Amino acid sequence: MFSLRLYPIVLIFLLVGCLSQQTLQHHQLSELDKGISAEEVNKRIKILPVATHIVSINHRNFEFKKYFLNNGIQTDIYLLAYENNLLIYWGYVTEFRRQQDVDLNSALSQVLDSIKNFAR
Amino acid sequence: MLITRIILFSLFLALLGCAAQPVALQRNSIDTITQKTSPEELEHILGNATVFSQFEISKAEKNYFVRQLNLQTGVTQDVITVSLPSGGSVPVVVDVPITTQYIVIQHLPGKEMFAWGPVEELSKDSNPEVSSCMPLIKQKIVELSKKK
Repeated sequence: MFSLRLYPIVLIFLLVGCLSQQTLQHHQLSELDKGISAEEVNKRIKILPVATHIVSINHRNFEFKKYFLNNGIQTDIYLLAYENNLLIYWGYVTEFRRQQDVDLNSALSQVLDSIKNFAR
Repeated sequence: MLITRIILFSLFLALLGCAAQPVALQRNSIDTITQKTSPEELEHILGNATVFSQFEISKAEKNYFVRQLNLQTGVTQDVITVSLPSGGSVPVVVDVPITTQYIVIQHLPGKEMFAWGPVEELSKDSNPEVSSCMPLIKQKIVELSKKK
């Protein structure tokens, strides 16, 4: 009887464990380099994106891959941006706003609502 | 008497912790680094911070001097339990710094400032000359850490 009561608790722990495996940790960001492919990124960080959003702007095609980064207190949206399947930039949304590629910034603005609203 | 022993033991642990910990850079000291910082000024800024590895790299016929240090980004607290000779135990709170790898790169041979920052920031730097150096630098750091 006692062990039956434990099952829901064990299941909750397992579920939490599964979810946390899909969260980027800060130390993994050092593994990323500009110009590597999406496949190479997956190999290095061993986490698949939560969602992918594709945007075309000024004849350039961008792909935003959405992750969650554990900042130690909570998880925040963290994006990896690709052009021609090559990693060109990664960071929090605020970091994207500061980088100098105007097209990339405009592309993010187009898709930001979808990125934020896409359920985890 | 017991309290005195606990205090002395805690002080001993704190000193031991200080001695054993590598020295990390602090944000307020690196804030003064600019592109115009001279090699002498840079040495003064880095002070007694622990250099975990240093090496030279060549990229596109340019040479760079690279140092890998740690930057303190926060602090967390650990509680360790100390057993007393008289029996029983006391919890002792120890501050543990949270750090991230910090890279300082100078041009060679003059050691003019080139780039500085955490690994992940330099890897996505807007200057391609900086970001393209990072795969080689990271590879060197891994190689050197394996040799230690």
